[in-house]
Amino acid sequence: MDTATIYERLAPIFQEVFDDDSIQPHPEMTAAEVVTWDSLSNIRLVVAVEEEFGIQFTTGEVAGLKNVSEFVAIIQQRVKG
Amino acid sequence: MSEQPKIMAKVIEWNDLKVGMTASIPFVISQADMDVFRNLSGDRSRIHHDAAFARDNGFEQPVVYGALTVARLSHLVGMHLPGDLGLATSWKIDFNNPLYVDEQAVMDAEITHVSESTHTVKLRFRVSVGDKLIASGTAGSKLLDQ
Repeated sequence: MDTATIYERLAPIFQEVFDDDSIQPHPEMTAAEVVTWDSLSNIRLVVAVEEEFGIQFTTGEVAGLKNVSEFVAIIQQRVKG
Repeated sequence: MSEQPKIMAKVIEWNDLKVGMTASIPFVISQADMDVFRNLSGDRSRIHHDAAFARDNGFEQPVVYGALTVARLSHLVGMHLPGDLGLATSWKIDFNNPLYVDEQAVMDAEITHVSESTHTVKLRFRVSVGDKLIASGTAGSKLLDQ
């Protein structure tokens, strides 16, 4: 799956989880720039992404993410696998 | 709420939670429950207590507060699935049909997703009275350490 498709599928998830219809995930995005991105919304995000793509992350993977591009890279890897 | 028997919440360890696990709780909302919630919430809107107003708007009788159905969701996730170790992360509910006082309802729930990375389970639930769907939605719970 190409990254453009992943970002396209992530957008409505981000909008739902962070309750912001205008939010568009981009590679450099971090939790710091989204006011409502806290520990519980992060859990909702991870669970929603797992459901959307039919994949499972490991605890270490989601704990160490620096930005959305790293998240997308792991999604791409999991979807391939 | 009507007085509940004093039972302990079920303790389910993380490794025992699986997709497909189910829980079901029957319940009835009484007029006493309605009165308690009206005072607690301060919601005195007529649809919940004025029979003539309810009938004029197409309902058989005053409609049970939606929050009382949500209270039963709290009972289901806190006491049964995932039970004592769960911390709610999200609840979403749609109200499909009115619930009336003293109707015998049932809430059925099933685990639809288990997230190893976040130790979170997602449930899908439905509330029904016979064949009538009252409400439906999802609930997420993170499992805490014992």
